[in-house]
Formats: sequence, structure tokens, C-alpha cells
Amino acid sequence: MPGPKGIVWLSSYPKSGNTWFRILLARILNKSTTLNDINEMDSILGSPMVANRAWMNQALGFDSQLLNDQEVDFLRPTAYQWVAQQLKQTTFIKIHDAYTHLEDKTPLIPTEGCLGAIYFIRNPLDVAISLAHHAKCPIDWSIQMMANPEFAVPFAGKKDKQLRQQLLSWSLHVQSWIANPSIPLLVLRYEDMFFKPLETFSRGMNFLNVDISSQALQQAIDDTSFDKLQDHEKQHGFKEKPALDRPFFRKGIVGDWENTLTEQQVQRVIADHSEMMQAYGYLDENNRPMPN
Amino acid sequence: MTYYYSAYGLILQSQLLLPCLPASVNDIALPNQVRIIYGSVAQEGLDNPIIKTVTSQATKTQFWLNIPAIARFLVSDGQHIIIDPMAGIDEDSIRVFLLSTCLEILLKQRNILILPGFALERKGLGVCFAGSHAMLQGLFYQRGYTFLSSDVIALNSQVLLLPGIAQLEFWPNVLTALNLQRQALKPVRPGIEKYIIPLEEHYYPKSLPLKIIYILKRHQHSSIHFSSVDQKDYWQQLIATPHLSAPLWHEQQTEINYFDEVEMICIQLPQSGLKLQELVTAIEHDLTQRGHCYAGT
Repeated sequence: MPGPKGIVWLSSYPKSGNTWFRILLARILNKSTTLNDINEMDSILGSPMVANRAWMNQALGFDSQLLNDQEVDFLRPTAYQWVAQQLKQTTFIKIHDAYTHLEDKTPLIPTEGCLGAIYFIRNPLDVAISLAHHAKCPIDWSIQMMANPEFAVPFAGKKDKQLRQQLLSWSLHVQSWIANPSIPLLVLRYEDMFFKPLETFSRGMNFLNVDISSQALQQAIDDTSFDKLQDHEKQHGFKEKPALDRPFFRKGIVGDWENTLTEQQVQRVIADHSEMMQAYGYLDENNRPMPN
Repeated sequence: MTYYYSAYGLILQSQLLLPCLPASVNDIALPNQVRIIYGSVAQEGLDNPIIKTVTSQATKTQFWLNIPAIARFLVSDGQHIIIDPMAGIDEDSIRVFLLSTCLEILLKQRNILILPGFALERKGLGVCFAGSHAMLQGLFYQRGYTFLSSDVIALNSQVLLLPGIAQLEFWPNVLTALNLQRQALKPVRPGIEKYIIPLEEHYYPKSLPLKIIYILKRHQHSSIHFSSVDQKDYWQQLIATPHLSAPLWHEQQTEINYFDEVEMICIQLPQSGLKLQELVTAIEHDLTQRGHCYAGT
């Protein structure tokens, strides 16, 4: 990773472990001995999510809701360059947008001021379940959206809080980030964060040039275990949760699809995303799901 | 062609038609006049700006705003706004930025306090609600209240609420929740699904003394609770509310004002199960208890 001033993008399709990583990173950067208030992590990491409309409004100096999505997109690369110029240290920004380009071929995420990106990937069979729960929609809907090359969020009625984010299909999202040679990139699998946390988070910290001992990292991992995050959300709430009546930290398990998806749903996801699923170890060469 | 309008205690002498403002005649002394004209605005911005954002720059007396493909604006000395429109742009798109960001900055240049929120008339006194609460605005509108302003609260040094733009603006989800048909409404500008409801008889065109500021907060209990709060605990928070031109305000709005005659009331709302009609009824009840009985319509 080059110099300390600039933006590190923490990128993922929704429900792929991005928030978990950010909480752990905030816990480490804050040098706290206890679990931080997870609602404070934006200030520790230096920024809210990139699609946060209030944040964009501050960068622009006016209400971006008065622009259409294309007009906002036109300003986004300049806004991120401007934000990067204001920084005095590394800032970690969560992003769900696919790595897309504007009509004039300008990348949405400029290389100027960009230190690199970590891309979090999760088995789409599990993403489908988690996304459905997050959006309060049936799993068939989330499977359909994950195959839609024009899928974008947020939905109507929620645009006051967030900018339009073009996710594309799950496969196109993955491809858009990993095929981008202009930004230093590390890919972390959710399943590895879950089953091999010390090794996987160590790779993340090394990429970010965060100096931490194995013992301290293990402590941070223990402090941000799923059970503890669930308890913390119950006690203090979590501002990123999707709706007032459901938690953000729901199950946090790997392989839920085996008990939740129908065979037909599994085959649809595989048919839609086999190439990327194979590439990241979720399918074998015969398109059969790999054991966790 | 020049048109004359009144808003925020000012006479706006405008080359751009502003149908959402009450018409006026040019009979006010010069200091209260604002000239809005078409002209050339520098592409590069201001000399030695003290504040810069991606699309705006400011000095102590000037504000420059560049909305790509729409217009550049220059707001000066609380008295002049120059509009430099991009080729082919429609008037609605210019108007929406002129009447929001530019006019708010002009008021700031005149040392008028601006807060996000809306203001109502009630028995000859001003009541305002801090923050963006479109549904609440809509429900008060449907109950027949008259509005001084719908997007920002403008307050002068005599603690008078100033009447602003005579229209409400709602997104489709709010219109749907209010059972208002959007087909008959005009959008704020082409391609933006925010719709205009002219206030007409619901507009209160005169300044009023501010009596109450309501602030809405969530709390852990299941009921709505009203409590008087110390202004000092909340002013900073109100001013820090993310809103239009927030960075410019933060820099310029360094002096925080407290008003002895103004009650600041915190309305604590339940985390879930809130019924907005019940909230509006509770607010009316609170106003009545505080001795500002509303006759109703």
C-alpha cells in the first residue's frame, strides 16, 4: 500500500462481510480494549458509506436530490478526488457500487487519491438469503435481482438517505472489481473470515499496513464475534440496520443455503453465476457446490 | 422583463419568473431589495475563496455555485444573484437551485439565521419544527394549517420567523402516504420525482414572532413524550444538522443565538409503531396545553 493519505475502498456486494470487517478494523484503529460502540465506526474509519447522501451533499455544497442519478454520477468522481485531497490520513470508505464507468469512460472511482481496495466476496447462495431478509423480500426476488445486470439500490422512497448505487448482477459486480488493474486490490472471502479469521484478517491488515500482533488481532476478532455484535445491537441499536423491526446481525453463519434454499433456487443461482462461483471456490469443476 | 416578489422580508426583483413566491410591488426601500439577473459568472470561481466544495466557493461576501449542465450562480453581499445558465437548460432547473441553495446563502449573507425545518402560524405566533419531516408537514397541511416556510426556518435578529417560499415539495412515497395524486402535480424540475404543492391559502405571508421550536427524537419507550429542553443543549445540534450547503454554514454560522422568549420542546418518539396522525394530534394537544389554542379549520 502506498502513502498514508487517501482513500481505501472497502467494497462488496451487500451482505458479504463488509460491515463485519469495518467493525473489526475500527476496533483495531481505535486501540480500544473493549468493543467500540459500533455506531461510532464511521468517525473512526474516517467516513460514512460512500452512498451516504448527506456526506455527498456536504462535498457538493447543495442538495444532490435535486439532480437525477446520471447528474449525480457525473459529479461523483470529482467529489471523491476532492474528498481525497482534504484528507490528512488514510480513510476507509464502504462501497457497494460496482466498479463502473461514466458515459465518457471516466471511472466512478478515480485512481487519484485512491490507495487501494479490499473486495469482500461471499457465496451467492448465502448472499441470496441474507439480501432477501435485509430487503424484506422473498428469496426468489433476491435471486432474481442478483441475476439482473441493471440491479440498483436503494429502492423508491429511500433515496433521501442514499445515492443510487448500481450493483449490477452479483457476477458482474465481482468482475467489475477484480478485473480492474488500476487499483491495488485484495480479495477476502467471507467464508475465510469465518473459518480462518486470524489468517484472513491478518492478510487484510497487512494489505492496509496496519501493524498489529497476532495476539492483539485475535483479541479484536474475539471482541467482534458475531454473538457480541448481536448483543451490542440489542443493547445499543445499529444505525445501518435495514428496518426498525429486524436486526442487522441476523445469523452470521456460512452454508445457511443448505437448509434454506430449495433445490430449484440453488440451481438458479448456480446457472446465473457459475463462472465466478467456480473462480472463488464455491463450485467444483462440475458446478457442484463445494463443501464449506 | 422584471418581476417583483416578496419572500423572507425582502423584495426580489427578478429577471427569472418565480411563480412560487407572492407577487409584490417595488415599493420597499433599497436595503430590502434583492436583484436577480442573468449575466456572466466566472467559470473558475472566486478569487481567494475561504471555503471550497466540489461545486461551490465562498468568501465572506460572495458565494459561487456551479451546477454542471444547469447554471453557474454568483450570490453577492446579500443583495445580488447573477444566473449564468448553461445552453438549453429549462427555467425550472435553474429555479430549484436559485430558490434553495442560492437564496439560503443570500439570507446568510444578510445575517438571517437559517435552520432546516418548517414553520407554521398558530394564533398569530410562529411554531417551527427542526429537521426534515415531510410527512409531518403533509399532515399539518391536510389539517388546514398555514405555513410560513416548508424547507428552511428563517429567523431574523428580532426573533421573527420570516415567510419563505409558498409551496410544499414531496417525494412520491410521501404523496402516496398522504393519499395525494401526483398526476396533477408539477415536478420541481424535469426528471426529478419531487412534486410541488402550491400553498395558496395555506401560506402565511407575514413575519411572526417565534414561540416554539419542536425537535423530534427517537427514544426507547413506547409512547410519545414532550419535554422542555435547554436551548444550549440543542442549538449546536440543530445547526450541525446535515443540510444544504452545510460546510458553508458551519464556517459562517459561528455565533449561536439563544432566544429567551422561545420554548424549545423535545418530542420523544417510540422506536417503532409510531402513528403520525397520533403524533400530530399529540402536538396539537401540547400546543393547546401551552396556551396557544388553535381554532382549527
